[in-house]
Amino acid sequence: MDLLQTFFNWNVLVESLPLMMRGLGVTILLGVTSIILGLAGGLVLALLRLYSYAPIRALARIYIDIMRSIPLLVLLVLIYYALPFVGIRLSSFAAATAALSLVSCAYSAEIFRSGIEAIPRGQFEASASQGMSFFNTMRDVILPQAIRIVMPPMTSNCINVMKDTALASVVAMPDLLKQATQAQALAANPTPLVGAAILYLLLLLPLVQLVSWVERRNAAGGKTA
Amino acid sequence: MSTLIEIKKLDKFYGNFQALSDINLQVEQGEVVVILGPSGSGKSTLIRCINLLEDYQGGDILVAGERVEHGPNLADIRSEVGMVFQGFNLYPHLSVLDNVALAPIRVRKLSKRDAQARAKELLIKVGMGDHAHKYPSQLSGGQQQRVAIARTMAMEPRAILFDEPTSALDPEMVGEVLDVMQNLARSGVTMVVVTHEMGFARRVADRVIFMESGKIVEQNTPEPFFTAPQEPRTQAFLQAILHH
Repeated sequence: MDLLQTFFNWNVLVESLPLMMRGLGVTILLGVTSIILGLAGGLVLALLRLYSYAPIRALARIYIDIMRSIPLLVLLVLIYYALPFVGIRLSSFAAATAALSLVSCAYSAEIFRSGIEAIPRGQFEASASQGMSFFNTMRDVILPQAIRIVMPPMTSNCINVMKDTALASVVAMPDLLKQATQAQALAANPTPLVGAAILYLLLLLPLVQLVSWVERRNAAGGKTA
Repeated sequence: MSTLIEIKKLDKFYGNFQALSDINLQVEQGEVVVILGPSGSGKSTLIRCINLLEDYQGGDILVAGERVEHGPNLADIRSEVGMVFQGFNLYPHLSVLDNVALAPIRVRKLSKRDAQARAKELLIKVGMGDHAHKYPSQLSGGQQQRVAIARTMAMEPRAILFDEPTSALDPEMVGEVLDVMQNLARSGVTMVVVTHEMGFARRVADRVIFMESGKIVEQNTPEPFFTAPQEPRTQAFLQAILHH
């Protein structure tokens, strides 16, 4: 009974729920924005890494390696607390979006690259032999096949971005975790934290299951050939 | 007749290995040229140079008077010189109809409707009219290659290069593909065909070329080529093949 009162306190939960729902909204907005920017940036980065002039290729590779090495929290703190010293003052939302998408586009670039490299050379040759431009070849022939291949790892990456949004609470971002910790302090009761954990699970569990489903379907062998 | 493809003093290297040396060859408008030779003789490499899927290091290749080289004109030249591959290389994520219609839409700027109507006609021509909605993986090898030929024809190229089009096929499917190619030849399309099908060469070719070790050893019209080859290496090759 005591345990229930402490961790699943109904009154505390009801009182903190509006605040937490607002936090959940911020979390989703931050996550979705970063995922979209990360995917778009990742695709551009992958194409630069594969097909541009040698110096740009090298730069893209260096960028990807650095962003995959630096801890996200460190980057976030740098952007939010260090950049103001050179006059760049970002809101907590902008800082968090920047950090998340800068890192996630490096990961998605590598995922896109692996997918593009998995496409047989004959596909490039068939398309080239018909006089198709690089842009058309990519859009109509290569990327549709590559994206199908990288669907599972790419979805995993998006899930990671969504999870990492919780780090934004460090830079005073009013996301789900931040709101929950505040509600917990206010009520002197950990129920909001438990509530936040459950909300995170409700958000992400379906996505995780989606990945498993896609992987199972691919393993069963659809019409990929 | 006017010259469509002109190859002059062509040299091609893979590192230090010379894959083609001093190739001189002209293909006239409407001509069907079949290239024979043992594997590794450079025949595939030669026709892959014509649309620059392989770079060449010396000499010139001209298509309709334009030099084949990297640059803004390359896509135009390629759209005029189709290629049919040994491994078909159909687009697996597109239906048969879309495989044929894609490049005309993107390169020739045809409307989707016109391109699909034309694609349908071509598929009927190669005997694949009933399979337009299927995906490549649902087709046999011979069927895939016939679709690939229709896809190449859809661009209405001035010439079509065939890179061992029947070598990846089960024996019982070779005939259906050769029939389509023979009809194509009769309709006046310029063709350069790398193949091991001697019967096809004999029936359809205007000229047969024999290559070995990256060089053209002998060329002639089919009858004298097969009945009275001049070079000892050609004689040996034909002996080995025909008595097989």
